[in-house]
Amino acid sequence: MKCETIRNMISSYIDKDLNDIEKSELEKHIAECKECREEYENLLDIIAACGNLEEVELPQNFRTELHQRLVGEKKNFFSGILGKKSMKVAAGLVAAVLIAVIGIGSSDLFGKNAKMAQESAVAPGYGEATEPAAPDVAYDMGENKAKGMAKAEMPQVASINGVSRDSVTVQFNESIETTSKEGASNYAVNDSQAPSQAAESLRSGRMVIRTGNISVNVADVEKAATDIRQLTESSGGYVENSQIENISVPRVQDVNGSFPDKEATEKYANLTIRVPEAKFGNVFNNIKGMGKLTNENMSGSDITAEYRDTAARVDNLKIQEQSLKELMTKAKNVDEILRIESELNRVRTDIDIYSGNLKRWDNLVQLSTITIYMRELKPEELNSVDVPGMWGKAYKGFIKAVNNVVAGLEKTVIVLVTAIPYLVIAGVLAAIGFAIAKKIKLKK
Amino acid sequence: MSDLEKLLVKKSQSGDIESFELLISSYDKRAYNIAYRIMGNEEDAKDMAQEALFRIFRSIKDFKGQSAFSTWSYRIVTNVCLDELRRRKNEKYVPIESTIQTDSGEAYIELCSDKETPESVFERTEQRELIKSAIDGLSEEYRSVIVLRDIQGFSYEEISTILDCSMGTVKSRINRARTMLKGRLKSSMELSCENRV
Repeated sequence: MKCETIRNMISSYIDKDLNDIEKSELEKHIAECKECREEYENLLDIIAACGNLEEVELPQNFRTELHQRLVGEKKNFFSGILGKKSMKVAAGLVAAVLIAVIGIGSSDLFGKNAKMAQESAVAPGYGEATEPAAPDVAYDMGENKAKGMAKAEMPQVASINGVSRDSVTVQFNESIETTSKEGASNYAVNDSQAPSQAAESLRSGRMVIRTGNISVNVADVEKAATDIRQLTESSGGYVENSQIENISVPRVQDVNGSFPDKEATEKYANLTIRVPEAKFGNVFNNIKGMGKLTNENMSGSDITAEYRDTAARVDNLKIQEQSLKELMTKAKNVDEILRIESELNRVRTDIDIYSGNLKRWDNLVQLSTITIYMRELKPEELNSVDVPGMWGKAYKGFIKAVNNVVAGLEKTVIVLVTAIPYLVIAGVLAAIGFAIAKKIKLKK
Repeated sequence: MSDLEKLLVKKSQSGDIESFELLISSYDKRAYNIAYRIMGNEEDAKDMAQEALFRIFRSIKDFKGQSAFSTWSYRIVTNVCLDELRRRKNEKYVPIESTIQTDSGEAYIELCSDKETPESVFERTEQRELIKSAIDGLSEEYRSVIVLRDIQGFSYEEISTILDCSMGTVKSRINRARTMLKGRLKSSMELSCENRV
């Protein structure tokens, strides 16, 4: 054997890693070859020397220092002390599920409400005067956030028809006595929902006359009236009619069972305002937020068909008028002239009448009408009727949240059950994946 | 693994520090020595060994019993040391030849030169010092196998588990490492022989 080969084997020989054949080969060679023997002995020495290196003792405070460190870690350990990784995963899952449940609970309703809003005319948020000083409730002109609007409630829809049909009537009726049902609290109406209705009718070329009625109880009628006036005008509309009455009320035992000192007067106001159709919903909601709503009503009537008919008629009449005029020039005698004249008159009168209709309709469509009936209520009265104060609101909020969670749970269950087939497949695949991964790991 | 050890492992897995300390008391000295021989000085050895033991405690939950607990632990120790060495190598050039060794290294030599020691002791000490420097001068690849095989005496199999490489790699590495070591020692031994004369 060559020296080089032998030399490469020396290391293994020393470690007793050679088979019998190799071993004897090497021993034979070494017995004869001086260089290789030297090499072997050198290596042996070195290895022996390495083996002779003393074992070093642990430093004095090694263990105590380590102990400190372990104890420090144990505090962090605690979070995973429920011991296994699976616990952490489980905790994470639970948290995720909770979030999902709550999220589904509140957002889903929100989604539904938004949808409802689009189908119907404008989805109103029902305001309640929750603060005794309700009339000072700030409402932003041209915006829908009335602070007085507490939680929204689901509108009781009397009937909804698609806007695309003729003579649509959409009505919402609600009286405030109904207890607050489930409704997403951030169900506040956006600006976008109001004009969408108008925009739609414009786009589809529908002519819809919108009217609304609101009855609110406010703390200061005069102020509210002024506010409404301002609101109307800033929306580009005008106040058609405004009336405020002071009525003396005969003395009557009041709520506490005692007679009032002086005669009470009750104030009422009736206003009729016209606002551009696009601002209708906006203004409507603002007014609602001015006080405690007792009644509201909205309707729209689609007059597209009649309008078109009338417009067509006018066109025809105009053509008739034109041909009559031509005829006139060809008239030969007074008799004929007189007859054509009378016919022409008739036609022109009709044109006037129908054009007048068209104009009137234009006006009505472009400017929606809102009639407002306001009643002045002393703050105390408002107080006693409402659920005032922070705790009341908190309680309501709590109930709502509970309902939210319940609803969310329901939906989650539905979602989960629906997803079972998918989960099963995913689970099987995951299990296979794990098994394979483990096998690979083991092989290593 | 003995039953006691199995029990200690289990208890350590649920976070029992006392059990863990008892468990590693059989291995910590050796772990420290491995670290010392790889890192070359006591300061680093202490840091690395403590860090390694700490990591062992933290990841003991992942210990599945597929290897011996000792081997598994030494693997972590070795890895901690090698990682640190590589990290240092990347950061800056560490002149290994010069003394990274702390006082112990210097003191050794001084001790020997100051006192009148029996020649053999002196020789042995000096020899140890020489070997130590020679080992410290090896690349971490070779150093680790020398430490594990020739200093600590692990079997090829154990080494392949600790370093997580094949037996073939272990063998060839040991071969080359020893050759390398021999080369380094030869040059420094020649110097010392000259001095003696």
